[in-house]
Amino acid sequence: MYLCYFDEKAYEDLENNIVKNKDHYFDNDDWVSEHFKGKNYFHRSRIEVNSVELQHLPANASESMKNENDLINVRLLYNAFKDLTPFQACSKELWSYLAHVQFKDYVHSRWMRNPGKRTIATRYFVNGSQGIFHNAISRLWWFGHITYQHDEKNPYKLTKVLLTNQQVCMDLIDEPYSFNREIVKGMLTGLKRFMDDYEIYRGITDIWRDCVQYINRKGAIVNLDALGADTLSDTVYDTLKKYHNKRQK
Amino acid sequence: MATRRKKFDYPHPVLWKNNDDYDCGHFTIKKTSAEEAEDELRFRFSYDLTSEGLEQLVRENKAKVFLRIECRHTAYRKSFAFDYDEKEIQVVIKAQDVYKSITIKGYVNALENITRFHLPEHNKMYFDNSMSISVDGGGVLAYDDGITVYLDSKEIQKPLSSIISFQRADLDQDTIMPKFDDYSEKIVVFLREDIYEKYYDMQNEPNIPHIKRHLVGITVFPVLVEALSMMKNHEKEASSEEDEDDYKGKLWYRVIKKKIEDKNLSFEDPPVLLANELLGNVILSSMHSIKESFQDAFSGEQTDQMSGGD
Repeated sequence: MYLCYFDEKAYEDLENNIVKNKDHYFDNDDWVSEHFKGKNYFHRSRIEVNSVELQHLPANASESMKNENDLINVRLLYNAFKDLTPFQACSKELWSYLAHVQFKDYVHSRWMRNPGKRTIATRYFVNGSQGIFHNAISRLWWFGHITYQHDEKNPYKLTKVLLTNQQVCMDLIDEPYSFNREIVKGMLTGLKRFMDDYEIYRGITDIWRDCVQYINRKGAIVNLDALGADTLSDTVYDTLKKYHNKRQK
Repeated sequence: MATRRKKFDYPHPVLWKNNDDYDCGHFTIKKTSAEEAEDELRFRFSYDLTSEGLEQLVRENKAKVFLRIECRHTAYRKSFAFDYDEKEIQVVIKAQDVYKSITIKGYVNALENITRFHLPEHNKMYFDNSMSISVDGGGVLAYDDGITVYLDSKEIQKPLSSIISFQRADLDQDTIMPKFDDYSEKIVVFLREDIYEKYYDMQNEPNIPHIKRHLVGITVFPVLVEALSMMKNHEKEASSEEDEDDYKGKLWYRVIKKKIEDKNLSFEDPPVLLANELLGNVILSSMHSIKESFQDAFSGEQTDQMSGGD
């Protein structure tokens, strides 16, 4: 199938009218084509990808079900859209179209059952420099892109670590250095080693947050980009161990 | 008395043009060549480091020179290391990974923990030998804010008409409203619905041959004067990274600036004169074309009258 994307003006129109259109997002009806009333609001690109159906999230899903659902959908989407280039994958019009039209039922099931104040703005649109990590569809592609390990038997090994829980994921992807795949690899490898060695898979959030804050402080005097994944992995492992031991006392 | 800048205050001395941690020395990076192959971009970058102490650390492989290349348009971010005995590096980037521009920052990083980091060139006001200064492995020893390399060199050769876009807008009072900091790379000139219709009709009017020149004088000229006034102020201000991202990096800004440089003009010149020059003396040519249009109309009237006389 060929990917479609919103016309620039159509995107702007929708973004400027979130409040006015709020009910449509909640009702999940087929409202976008009606909204533009026969105007040419999208374009068909020359980017061909495999067709994909994303797995919907059941109502009242627990946090761990959300994490599992995210992991499944990252694999589905990234496998299907793997040939997309990073430049193409930065198009807000593309991701917004997919969220509004093609995958609207998935987006509704994942994000609109218990929405926050900015859910529509962040999950249906792309806002700010890290916005591609928040849009309901682009986040799946970018999580795959920054964690996919070509040379591993299970190339999504680190994706699973990233999606240990939503907070672990957010703490990492909200940092500007998360665009550097070496840094992401180092940090997630260190986290995985720690979780495996100490058999801590739940309740990791607090020490992970402390660890990320430590890495941020370190990043103020050290060029993290140049450290290499192995060094960073050791640093993360040692830091998690230190904070874990501190909490045990 | 010297004061250190708050931003990038490191607990150890860092050689950087915007601080005075070092009494002497400098560290800069520059692009020495750029080549575009079919699906990749090949660059050569070099560095210049003048600090005997830091140079020695690099020679001894205790420190290394790195580049950090980022493209904010494609979320590309990667680090490249110079060999310890090389002052130049080749960097190959897949063309699909970057777009429009890349920023390159330079670093000299410690490769191992350095205890008692004291060099003769350190500023003794801040870092005297009695202090115990240590640097962790990976610590930044020198920094260059770097350069921005634009990847759309063909784009900035384009004519001025390519960077101004007229669009209809739902304006109440204002008839015309230029936007310079829009999401677009162009200057977007919003015209009130009725003005836009007239503008469009006149653009496509085959019976008035000089009409396009009039239109440039009426619409493009004032917008360009406003743009140049803004640019003039902007050029005076010390640019920051944010400016580079939001304003100076815009295609319209770079196209106009390139044309000013090509014509040996200067931002010191009044914006009205600059705009007139950039538009090929639009004031005079508009006057001529108005006159010619009048003459055409007048002679046409005479012919009609004469015909009528027959």
